[in-house]
Amino acid sequence: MKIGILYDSSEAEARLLFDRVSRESTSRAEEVAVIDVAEAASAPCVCCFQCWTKTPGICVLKRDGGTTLSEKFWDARYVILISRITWGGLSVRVKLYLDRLIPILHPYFRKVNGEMHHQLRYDSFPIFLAAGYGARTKGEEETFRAYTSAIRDQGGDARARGTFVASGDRPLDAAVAECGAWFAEEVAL
Amino acid sequence: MRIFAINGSPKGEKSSSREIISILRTKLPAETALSVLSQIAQYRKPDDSVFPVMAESEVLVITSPLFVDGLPASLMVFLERYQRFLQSPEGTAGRAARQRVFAIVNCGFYEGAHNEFALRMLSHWCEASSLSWRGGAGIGTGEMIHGLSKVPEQASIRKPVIQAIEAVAKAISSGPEGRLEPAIFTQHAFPWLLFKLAGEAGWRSQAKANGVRPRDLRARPLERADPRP
Repeated sequence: MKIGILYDSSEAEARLLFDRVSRESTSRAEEVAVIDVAEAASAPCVCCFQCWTKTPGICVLKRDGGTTLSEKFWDARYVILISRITWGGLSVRVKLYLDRLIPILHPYFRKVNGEMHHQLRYDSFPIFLAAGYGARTKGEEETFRAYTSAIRDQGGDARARGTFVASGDRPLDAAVAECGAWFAEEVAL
Repeated sequence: MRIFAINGSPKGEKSSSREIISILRTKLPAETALSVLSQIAQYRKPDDSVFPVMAESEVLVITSPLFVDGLPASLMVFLERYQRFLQSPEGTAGRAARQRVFAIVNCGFYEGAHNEFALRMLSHWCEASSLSWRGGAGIGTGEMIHGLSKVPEQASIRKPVIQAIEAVAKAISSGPEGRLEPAIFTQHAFPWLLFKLAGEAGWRSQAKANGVRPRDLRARPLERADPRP
């Protein structure tokens, strides 16, 4: 099994969550692939769709951090996105990377849970888990849970607990331990 | 009333999000002053000079495509910069009331409901920026908005989408109390299966124009040792 971890090492909470998740991963997976979004910038996806219609499966933008998302994670069983919760979504830096996901999707459509989604380019597609921290409000936490669950829908995985939220009203070390236990349970499924 | 509309699509003028602003313009009272910013994807050269004018408008309208279930990161970058401006001394000066914010998000999937989370994120952005969220609409079959722009608006295929944009225009024109919450989620009156087939034919014709054979759309370059095209 391969596990992918994406995080932002410029944030203290992300470093702590990463250390814990990384420990859990190395004891369970044959391969762990890591992307630290603080290490290299990702240019924004420009919605040209040439990764579907000109060089199928490969982004045409100049090679940068964002290019590594599909290269490192396409064959992972699980990918965990560790991110500050920003307006109920992922942080800007993490979303810059995630928008570069589409080369591993196929432009054609299929129905998943009654809704239209893209077909997958490869036989497998990562199950996207998410661990968020730093929400301003409970409403942002709720949106984060629902939104990251929608990201999971693309691969057709309908698990209920695929998102962990480190709430601001609890001590961080407790949240980190809890996240480790949650993650171990998720990747055992 | 002064309205400022921003097009959140990196495709700029040629996007469905831009077309939505054009349709919205025709549904607003003639005396409305509408300014449009067509290109916010300013990755290499961020330009904040527009913010003072933006902040003076009573209403801000955001139109955007959906990227991987959420807001495009390029739009988030822009909104984050505007938020910083609003919190700066220059941004606070001279503003009488909280700006009212409406949004219309569209996606390339069939169901308009996919856009729900992007709208919710914009509502949280408003809370965090001390702006007044007023709701909006989420539209599926987004590619058709641009594609049908020459078809009369009364045509039944366009009706649900035109009506959603009209509802946003009406809420905007209703003044300080106007809002459209819960948001409207809809799509063109076109069967699911036909939309899928037409969309896939569209991808094949784009591929053909790029010299790519239909079967090569399924290429799996990352399974090769050297994935470069």
